Amino acid sequence: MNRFAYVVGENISTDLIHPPNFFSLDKNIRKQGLLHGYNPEWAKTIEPGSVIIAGHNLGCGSSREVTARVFADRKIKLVCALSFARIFYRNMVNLGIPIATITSRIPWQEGSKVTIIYDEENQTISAQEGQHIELAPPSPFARKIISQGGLLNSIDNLFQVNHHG
Amino acid sequence: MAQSLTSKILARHTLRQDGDHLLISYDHLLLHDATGALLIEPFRKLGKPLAHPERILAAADHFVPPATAERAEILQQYLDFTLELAGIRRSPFTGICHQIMVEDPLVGCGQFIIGADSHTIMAGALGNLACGLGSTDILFSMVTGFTWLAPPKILKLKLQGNQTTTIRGKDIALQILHTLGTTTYADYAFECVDATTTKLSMDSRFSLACMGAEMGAAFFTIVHDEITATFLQAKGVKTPAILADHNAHYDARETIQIPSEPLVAIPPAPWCVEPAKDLKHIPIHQAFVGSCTGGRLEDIADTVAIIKGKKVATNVRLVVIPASKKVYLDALEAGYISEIIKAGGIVDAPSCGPCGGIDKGIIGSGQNMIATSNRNFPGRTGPGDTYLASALVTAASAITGYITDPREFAP
Repeated sequence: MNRFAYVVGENISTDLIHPPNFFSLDKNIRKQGLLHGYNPEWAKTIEPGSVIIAGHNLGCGSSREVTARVFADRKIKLVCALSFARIFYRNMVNLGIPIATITSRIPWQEGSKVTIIYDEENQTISAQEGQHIELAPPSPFARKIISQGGLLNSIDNLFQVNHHG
Repeated sequence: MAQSLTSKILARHTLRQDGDHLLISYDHLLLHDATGALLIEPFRKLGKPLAHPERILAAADHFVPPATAERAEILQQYLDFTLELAGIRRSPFTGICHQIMVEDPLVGCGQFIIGADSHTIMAGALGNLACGLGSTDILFSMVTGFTWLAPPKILKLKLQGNQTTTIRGKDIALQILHTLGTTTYADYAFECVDATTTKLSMDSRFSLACMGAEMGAAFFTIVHDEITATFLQAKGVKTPAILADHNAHYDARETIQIPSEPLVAIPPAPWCVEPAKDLKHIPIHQAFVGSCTGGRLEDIADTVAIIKGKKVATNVRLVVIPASKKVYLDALEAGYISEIIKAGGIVDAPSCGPCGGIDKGIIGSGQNMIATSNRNFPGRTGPGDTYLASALVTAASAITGYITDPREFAP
């Protein structure tokens, strides 16, 4: 199945992913902020089921969880990057949003929109021209949380709550 | 086996290992209005009790006072929510959450601290492991009593050299960012030893540890010494210090020389650093002294040392926001606030101000701000350009109207 991939560059901060003026408890306001700081046109048009491809240090900056939640709000299929900033990575895992680390070179220029096929089983993304990238899944612990649908859904299944710790 | 300070604190707080991750208990958990408001609904839905209410410190600092009607509603929802949480430590409107955390007499050294804000890392300056987390992580910890963590690699970071009168913790943070960047030691626990001849003040150390977030550090712990001991004693903390063992293992080691001249981070990121003296061509529209990174008494005293008896440049806004009620009262008592007002500065109530880009004091398109805050990513503090520096550089720039090396004002 064809879908679109949106390619961004290095050190894309939480302020570019979701500018502070879209911080809101209202999902409809939040949704409009997706990548607005990077490309306001994309913010309007990114289709559900799309894939985001990024360079190193994706999500550096704030801990504002709306910057991760917005990918779920907009039904993004996968967010992959050469590396993730620590808190952003945790937020994505905790919300159960699919992520992957890119282990190959990114053949597409930053700022481009590419038609791709995402092969979940073999963890690759390929374009019609034959260019492709390879992916590695997150750690086994993170995968467990994502497969439960996020951290809060995991409490009863994965963690024994001990109030005397 | 000889252990680092980081390993010792982690070991003391590890409840159990779960595959490739540790489950860690915490001594303190920090909430504030902006990110705390995000967990109200999921908390109610979850319907579980708090594991350790007495370990929760709830501040209100981001929307104080609120700049829009929506922010006022978010703030009120959060305040009402924290009132429902029986047994927690509520401290609204007393300052920026990170500053009231380190002022709290229950916060000592050797502790594990988490908070719903990236600059929670600042409490590492007292010899703690402290880190920022997102709202879901925090909600999970509120009800389980622990957090999850992959055991971090540990960097021993040694500060060396002689701190001159115009160099502060902020300049050292910028020097580290300039030297190491933000991805070289991403996710490492930084264990920092102050081996400078002059020793950094506690206020400078808080500023430095805050910027650990920008360095990509999981933790930024400054090893306990006589400066830490004096600070802790003054607030009545009697916890004995934990130190690293001699010959402890570290995954990496770096030595940073104290910079010889004041530095400035230019857009688009905190690791793009230039000497202040080379940036005279940058006019400024706003100078901001405040935030968890640069709104303490040392910063306000430095501001006054530069501006006393002078006037802020025409058309420049000097905005000063003390980091806490205590800092504000101390600054009032020292006569600093009246000097700032006489020079034409604007003083606001303890809060985050424009730093997060969501409250009063943000800058518009085509405007430049020089600030003692921590981030200058595009869009962080409004649509203009932000330059990061110490209070000395910021105040000197407020007087001239362009980025200025404070040595031009030295007596």
